[in-house]
Amino acid sequence: MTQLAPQPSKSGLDRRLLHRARGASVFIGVCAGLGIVRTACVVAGAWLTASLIAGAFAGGRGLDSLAPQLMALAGVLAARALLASVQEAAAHRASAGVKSGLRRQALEQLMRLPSGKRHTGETAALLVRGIDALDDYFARYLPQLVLAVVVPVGVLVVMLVAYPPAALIVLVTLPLIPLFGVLIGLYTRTRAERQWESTSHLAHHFADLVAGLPTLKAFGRASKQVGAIEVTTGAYRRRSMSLLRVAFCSALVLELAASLSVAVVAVTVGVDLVSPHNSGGGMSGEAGLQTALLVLILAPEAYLPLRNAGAHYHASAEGLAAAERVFAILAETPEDAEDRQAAPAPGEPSNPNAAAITAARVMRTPLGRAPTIMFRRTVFAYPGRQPLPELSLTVPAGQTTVLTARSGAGKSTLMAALVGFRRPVSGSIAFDDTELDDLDLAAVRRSIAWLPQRPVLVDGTVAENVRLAVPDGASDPAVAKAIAAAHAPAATRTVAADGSGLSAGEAARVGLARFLLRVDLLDPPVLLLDEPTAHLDGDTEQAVLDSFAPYRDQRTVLIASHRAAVRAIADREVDW
Amino acid sequence: MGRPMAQLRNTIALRLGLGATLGALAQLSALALLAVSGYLISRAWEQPPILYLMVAITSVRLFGISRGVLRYLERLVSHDAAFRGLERLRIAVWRKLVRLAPAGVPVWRSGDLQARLIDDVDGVGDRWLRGALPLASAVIVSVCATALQATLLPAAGVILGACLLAAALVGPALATWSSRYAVRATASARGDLTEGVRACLHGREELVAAGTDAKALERVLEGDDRLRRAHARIAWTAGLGEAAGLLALAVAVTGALGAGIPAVAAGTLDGVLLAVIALVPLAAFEPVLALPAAAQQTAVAKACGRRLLEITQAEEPRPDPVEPMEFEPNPLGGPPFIEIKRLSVTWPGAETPALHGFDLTVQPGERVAVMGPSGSGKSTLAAALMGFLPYEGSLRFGGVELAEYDGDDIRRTVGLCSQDAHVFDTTLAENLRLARPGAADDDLARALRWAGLRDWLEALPEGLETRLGEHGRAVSGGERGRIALARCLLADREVLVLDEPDAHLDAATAERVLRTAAAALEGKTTIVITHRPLPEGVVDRVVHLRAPVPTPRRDAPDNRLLGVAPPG
Repeated sequence: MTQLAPQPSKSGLDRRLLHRARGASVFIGVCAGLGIVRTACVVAGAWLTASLIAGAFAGGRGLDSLAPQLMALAGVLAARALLASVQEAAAHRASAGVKSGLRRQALEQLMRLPSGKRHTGETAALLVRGIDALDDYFARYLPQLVLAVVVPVGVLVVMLVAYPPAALIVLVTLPLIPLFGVLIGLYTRTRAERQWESTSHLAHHFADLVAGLPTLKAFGRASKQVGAIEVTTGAYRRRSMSLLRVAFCSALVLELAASLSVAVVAVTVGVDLVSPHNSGGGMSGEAGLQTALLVLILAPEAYLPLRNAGAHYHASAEGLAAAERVFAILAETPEDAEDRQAAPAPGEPSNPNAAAITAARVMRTPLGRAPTIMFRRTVFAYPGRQPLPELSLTVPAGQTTVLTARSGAGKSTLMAALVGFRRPVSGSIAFDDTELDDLDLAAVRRSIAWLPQRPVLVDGTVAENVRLAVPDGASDPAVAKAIAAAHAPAATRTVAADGSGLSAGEAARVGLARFLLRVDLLDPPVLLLDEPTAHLDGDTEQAVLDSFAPYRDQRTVLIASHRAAVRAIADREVDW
Repeated sequence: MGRPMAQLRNTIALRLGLGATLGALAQLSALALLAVSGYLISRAWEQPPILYLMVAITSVRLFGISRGVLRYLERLVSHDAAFRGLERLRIAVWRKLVRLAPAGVPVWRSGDLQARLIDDVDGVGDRWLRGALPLASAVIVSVCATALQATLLPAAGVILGACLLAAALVGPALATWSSRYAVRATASARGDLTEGVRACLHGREELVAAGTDAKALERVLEGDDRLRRAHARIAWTAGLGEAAGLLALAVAVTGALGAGIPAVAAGTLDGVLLAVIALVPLAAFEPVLALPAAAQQTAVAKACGRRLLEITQAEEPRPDPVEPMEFEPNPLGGPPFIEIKRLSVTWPGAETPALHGFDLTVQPGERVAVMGPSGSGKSTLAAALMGFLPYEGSLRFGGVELAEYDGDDIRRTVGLCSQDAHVFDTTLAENLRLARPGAADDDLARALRWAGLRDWLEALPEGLETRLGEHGRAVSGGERGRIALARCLLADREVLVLDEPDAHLDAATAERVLRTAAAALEGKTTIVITHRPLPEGVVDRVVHLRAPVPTPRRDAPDNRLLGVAPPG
């Protein structure tokens, strides 16, 4: 029910959004320009209509003498229609540009941030669907907001010249609308925020139940949930309605101000026409009627953009909420092991000069050939969890070490630490007696080929996926060789990012081909493989291991695996 | 489904009808305000005694107030109706899903589809509020305005009616067409982009370590470019709908004056009413100009409704028998005697059976392992034993075909423990009590011990009250499987099917857990489904299963959450 109960937007967001989003300011300029032309159309249309009525009724003129004015009116009204069309198109284009910019910024930032507790599916939905929802803001709300500033000013100026009392009425009532809007907004703010939380809570609750329905059914608990759903949603409706009764008041004020002031203008003008001597004259004859009608037609136009903006404001809430979350991502600072200056390891005394000292240290150059890797009393910990058991391990240079460990012991953590994605809370990691912290991380990463448990897949062909092995391009024969060695599917097969098109075993072998290509092209001295054969059957496993054999030569290889066939190729087997 | 849906429609329709009426009255107030104001000014110009104007002045003031108040009431009434409607729709959908789960709907295939289901329900609410109500008030206002105009001057009435009709047809049609085109043009680009972003985020560390993150990002952002180009193409069509309505308004206003001015000159129309004739179209068009937006909303919501209909009209994979047998497969108590002969099971929508010609007899209290490679139909067997799927051949409990029993009765005797069982976003205790409501904390702790989670439980600072699931503490694959096992042990079913109980566990942990579980299940019938050999002594005997010869279709319903995945 996202749209029924819009999330209250945080103040200042709009400004940030317009500031950050490239192209937004140009768009506002375009909107303002179109708004000025539109105001001219509105005024001209009202003036022509008024003069036609006055001419026919008060002036007693026929269609012959009024025909040019009638044609002009048709032209003005048609121009106004076309203008709306141009505005809409401009808005959609601008919106698309802003969205793309925001998406790129957020993605680039996300690649720098630790994955941590972020839910990838949710984040992907935020970056695509969430940002797309900004259409309502850019293409609908924002243009109306600009019009709400431009049109009333133009209309007021004309009214002031034509008939000051009417302008005064509009001038007094118009500010009431935003004023009451703000007051009611403040009054309902905390409740609205709580309501928004309970909206997402309700949606999440239902989603959780649907996801767990097979489980509920297996335990015979599914039908019993009906009562629970009834109670939750019923309470939710009553709370929502009590909030909406107040929240809709701002719309009530808006409508009342708009229609009542039209009524007051009509009555004032009417009374003046009946007794022109009261107002100091000027309101009689054909000109008097024309002025009166002009003012009457213009009065509602002053309120119209504000009413539209109000209507679109709620629809834009979803996009704004998404924008808010995107900005939160953009505001985050990278603080994992990748940014060592920024984050001293917990447990170390936090020396204010530490950053300067680390930065001043000369980074050692890439790893020498086949280094020895040493973990000395290394302990990893995740927040809110028991630390993983302490590890002391030597991976000898130029040999293949297979690491077997019980489930959850942290084999993947250990490999991620070697490429600088996890920091131990105590103990150390060293390559050939040089602490990992003292080495240039980029160079370390260049000297390592790492095959994670679930290699990433992007949309494209198998070959394109294998090419993700190295930053620079790879020749076709090199790719073909890697694919053959890994027994991966044909280079031209297409792969989807969600893995559809390949079986789990085939996907694993695409990852392996990528790994082998990297080894071929960059000749890294260190190879890390995390469960490389988990999804393979016995025969394929053996074939893959056979083609992997020459790559192990003269390199420090660390493989995490339980499989007997993998353990068979080990120079050394370590149980953690 | 028919009756509850009809009831739902009736009361909600009444409330929505009231909302539509109030909305139309609010719009008519606006129209009356403008019309009477025009009359007032024209009449005032003739300078009659002011008493003659009092009725008009009072009406203008009344209409000035009534529009806002009526609109406020309309909003309250219609939102309340929508909330109530959605409440019942949710429950109706849930009731149906309960009967379909898990084999009948592919909705559990991915989290995305679940989210869509939630959105679809909300989308139907939007259809009422933003689609149907504006349409209803636009129709009422148009008819009234045309009637009024025709009474004053028939020619003007005809013009207004024609213009309103044209605007009401063309504008929404263009809007619907352009939004449909937009959906077609962007849906696949958007889906690809989502998956690409997800993959990039998921594989961030691999890509950064390999130095290929920028390269992968560019690939993904190609999807964004496609999306952007599609949006640019849509931009112009989106504006057309808007323009159509305003053009019709231009014709209506010009036409009214074009007809009115000669009529005044000819004396067939009182000059006082010329202003009314010119102003009525302005107010009459207001609701009609809102129709393109309403049509777009309806188009979106229709898709939501269609998808919900697919669910509510889906065939139940295994309807419960009309007159189920009383479930008493073992009158002496304890596990029933299970006899399976030439059992063939086909997933709904699949052409070939996933399990074919399977024979097995299980004595009460026996522990049997069913072993076979993936694709041999092991999990299909589990789903059939749970009464989730129809079958051919014979599957008897205590001599009675399973098809004769009510599904819920079957599941009171047969339990299924799958590795991918759902962990709900609530406390550990609540997650376990699902299996046995009212179980004491000691029972819960014991079940966790049996499942090999003693150390894990002791390490939890909040113990059984620890929140699990998406908004709580994340559990690993191995922990999730063992929580599911603990839940099944707590449920204390006479027959327990364990689907790959060692999937996410290392050999030592797996053996320990299997042995404790086996001890805890003493006297119950246990069927362990596995693709690897089990440790010595865990089961009494092993039955081998081979894959049926033809390869099943890929679009057979997949059910990862329950772990009853069809082969493929």
